[in-house]
Amino acid sequence: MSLSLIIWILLNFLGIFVSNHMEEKKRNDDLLVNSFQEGNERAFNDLVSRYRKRIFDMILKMVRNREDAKDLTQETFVKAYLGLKNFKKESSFFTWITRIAINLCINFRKRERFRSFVSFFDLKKPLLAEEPSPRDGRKDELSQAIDAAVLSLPPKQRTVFVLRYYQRLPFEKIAEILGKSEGGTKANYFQAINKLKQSLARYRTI
Amino acid sequence: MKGRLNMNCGKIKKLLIGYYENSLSIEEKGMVENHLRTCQACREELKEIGSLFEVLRGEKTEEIEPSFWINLVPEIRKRINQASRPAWGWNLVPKLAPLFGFVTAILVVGVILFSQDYRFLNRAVPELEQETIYTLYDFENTTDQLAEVLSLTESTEGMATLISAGDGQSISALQEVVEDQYWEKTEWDVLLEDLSLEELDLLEEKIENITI
Repeated sequence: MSLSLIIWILLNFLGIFVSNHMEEKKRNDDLLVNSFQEGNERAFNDLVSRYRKRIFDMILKMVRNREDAKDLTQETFVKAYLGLKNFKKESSFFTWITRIAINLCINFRKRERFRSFVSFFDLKKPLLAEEPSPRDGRKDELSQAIDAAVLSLPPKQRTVFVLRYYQRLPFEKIAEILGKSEGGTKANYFQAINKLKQSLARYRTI
Repeated sequence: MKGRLNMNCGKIKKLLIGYYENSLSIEEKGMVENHLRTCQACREELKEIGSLFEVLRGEKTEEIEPSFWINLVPEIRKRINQASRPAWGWNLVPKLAPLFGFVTAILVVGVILFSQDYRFLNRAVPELEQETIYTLYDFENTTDQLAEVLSLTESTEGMATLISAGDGQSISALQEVVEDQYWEKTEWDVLLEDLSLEELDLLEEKIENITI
């Protein structure tokens, strides 16, 4: 009992530390955004450097292809640049740019489907199945299976799963990014995990 | 406490992922632990969740070449410059100038010609001319037209003579028949051109049945 109490106190302490760190980061973001809006172009470069890794990782986990992820990362920052002059800071910069990236990823998947639909008529490219198979030959079998399983999730569930499992975001933050309720995002995560349990059953020991 | 222990598995199952991730509140955590002591199915479920996360941890992380990070800002800047340009290049304007000139000339000529016609149509019509226009639609006149057309066919020759020589009564009777059947047609030549053979026969029949 006393051990769990100590762990709880430590976790709370860690939570406060993380929360302060995030606040600090948000303040710095706001300064950079203000600076950019006042005409300092270099401030945008700093914002790119600050978030490039995180945005790229998230996009990669969403689309599961390196080249597509690179392209979408650039597109995300281009969109952010074009919209940043009118950014009203109703949410944090991170929330805002994550939203841009997520929307691009979801629309990208739709575009991919459309391309595969079009290729049905010209028959020049091989047809993509409803659940596209991973295209990276360098991956091992398990990683490819995970790619296919995650890609087969519906967009909302996939987004929540990526933000929660890979990005380690709290449900509250995920709900803010997606403009949904916290309960709704928890339900999406629960459904995503259940589906992954089924689609990856072959690789589980139990 | 007993109530918590008997909490149904459905509610607990929703908390199991959070329990595995260690993200539950102390109260929720206690609830789950109490339930797990007595519920074999939920213990199995928790093991399955654990095995899934074990599988997910086996996913290889992909290393990205450093050049991507180095070139990222310049690449973004390049794209921004492209995106800032107008959707279609203004540099095409000189090449398309002759086409624009041709289209503009056609439009100008069209407007001039139309304005001539417009002026003609809107000119003040003298009272006398209005009378003349009216008589064109007079049924005496149209009856003559009808008779002329009908006289071209063999079967209606006699009837055409009758109509052309008809008095006011026959004209008004004809008017009634024709207005009833083809009220929307005001121009006789248009009306007769539009009629099919069957409709012409029907019209002839109705004219024959007119009581004079």
